[in-house]
Amino acid sequence: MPSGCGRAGANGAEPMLRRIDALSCRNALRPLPPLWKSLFTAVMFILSYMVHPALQLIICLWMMYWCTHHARIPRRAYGLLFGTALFFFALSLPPLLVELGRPADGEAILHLPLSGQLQLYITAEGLCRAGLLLTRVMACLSCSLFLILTTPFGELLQVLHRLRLPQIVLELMLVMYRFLFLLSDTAHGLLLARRLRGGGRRITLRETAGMGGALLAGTMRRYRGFAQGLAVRGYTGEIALPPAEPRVLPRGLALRAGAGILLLLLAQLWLLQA
Amino acid sequence: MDACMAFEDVVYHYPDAAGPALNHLTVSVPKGLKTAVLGHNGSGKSTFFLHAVGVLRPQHGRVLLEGAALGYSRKELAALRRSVGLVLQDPEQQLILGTPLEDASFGLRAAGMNEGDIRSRCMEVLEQLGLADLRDQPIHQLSLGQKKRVSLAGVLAMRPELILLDEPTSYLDPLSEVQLLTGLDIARSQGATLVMATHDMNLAYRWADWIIVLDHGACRIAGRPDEIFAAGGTRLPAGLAMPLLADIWYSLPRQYISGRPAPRDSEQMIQRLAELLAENSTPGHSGGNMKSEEEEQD
Repeated sequence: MPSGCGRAGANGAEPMLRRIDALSCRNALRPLPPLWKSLFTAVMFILSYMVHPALQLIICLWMMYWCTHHARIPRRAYGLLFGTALFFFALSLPPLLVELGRPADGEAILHLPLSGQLQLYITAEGLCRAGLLLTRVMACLSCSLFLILTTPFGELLQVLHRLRLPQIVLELMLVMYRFLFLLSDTAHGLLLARRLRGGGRRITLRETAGMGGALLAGTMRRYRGFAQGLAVRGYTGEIALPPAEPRVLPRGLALRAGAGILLLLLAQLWLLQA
Repeated sequence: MDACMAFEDVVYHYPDAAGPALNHLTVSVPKGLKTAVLGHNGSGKSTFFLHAVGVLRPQHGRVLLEGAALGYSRKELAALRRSVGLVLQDPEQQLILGTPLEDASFGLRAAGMNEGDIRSRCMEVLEQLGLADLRDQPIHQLSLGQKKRVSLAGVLAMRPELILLDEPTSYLDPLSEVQLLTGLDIARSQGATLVMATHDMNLAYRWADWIIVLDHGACRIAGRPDEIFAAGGTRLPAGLAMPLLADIWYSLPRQYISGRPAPRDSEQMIQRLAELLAENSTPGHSGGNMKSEEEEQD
């Protein structure tokens, strides 16, 4: 790979971790103070838990607008991340929706007789519960994505440092985050080597075990190298994080955020009274 | 010649290895020069460097910096790593923070420098290495050449007296190699002593003022490049080839090249050969040292 042509964007199958990292560094809301973005997210997160499901959907759409319009995150990338996270919610739907047993009269809106009186059935209550959970998940997810996609990890650590999270926890988070990329590179190298040596789409159990072992060995080697690198760089038992740079919050954005929160609160009050 | 760093009878044996990585190694690194450490795989180059920065401790013998034996207390090691910087072969091993600017500042912040000075010094180094535009890019998204320069920036920002580089040009394309060597020239101009381990004999011949050849953990030979290569490949351990320019130059008949400094790069080689041709083709030239071997036999 020639110099200047970084890994990002070098191929279409860019790992999601790298994609998030790249977006968080190259979005239009990056220059905003990370503490403000964190506080805004925290407020929206709390609202997502408290407000009416209809407002939760509005929160979701509003936070999406912040990401795709204000932060200029590509819609496709955002949709992919949002959809992937929702896929995990979809996986948890069967236990939420489907019940096994004998439903009371009129309780089941859909049912599948099994044997005797035993049935698989879905109730209106289960459907409602899943729907409520979905709106809450969507609202919370959009809030999380706003912070993750607009603020680089290093700046989030600065916020946590300012909130007086213990230094050891921050160091662990920093090293773990750095190590995720090393792990991802090692795994990527192993998979590439397998493909280049004629490995097909199907991976046998033996191959998986072999690759798992190689991944562990490679990761341990990288861990030792990283520890050595820390010592060489003058690590004295504490990784001093760079301080947060002073940044200006544009008044227009602050007003929009404040107005939006106020409207949500008023709408919630109105819905409670109605 | 003053020694910046010296190894005296140093022995180091890795727990799971068959033989010693350093085998009674006694060698000096001359102060203020550019030194190349050559040797085949497993000759002890990386172990030599890890001893120089105190990551490994000799099991026998001692390592001296500016004539004083290294101490291994936490405080002494911190001071050592401020005056001796090591650029590891794999940049991933020593890049710690998220962006080039943050990473370059790591050592300075650990040393307790104030933030204003840290920023100005890091920006200066990043500009010297052509990384200023990438200062806020995530490290993970840089190419290998850029990562190597960022890891060098972290060391240069500390302004150490001695800079050790473990195969810094491996896997680099020619442009990245030139950018990295330019950074080293800047450090050299600021008075740093440079030591580079490399397999690239041509680079070592072109770049170094002093060469140390390691073989099985011991110093096989040390000296100026022309002293080492003048005898052809006979003084080199098996597996190390002669640099191309030296090979050509020292293959010429002795009477042609005696008294002339050996060319260190292709431009100098062309110049020397042009001089030889010009002298040889001068009408009425008495011959002197330009006589052909045939004439000599006559």
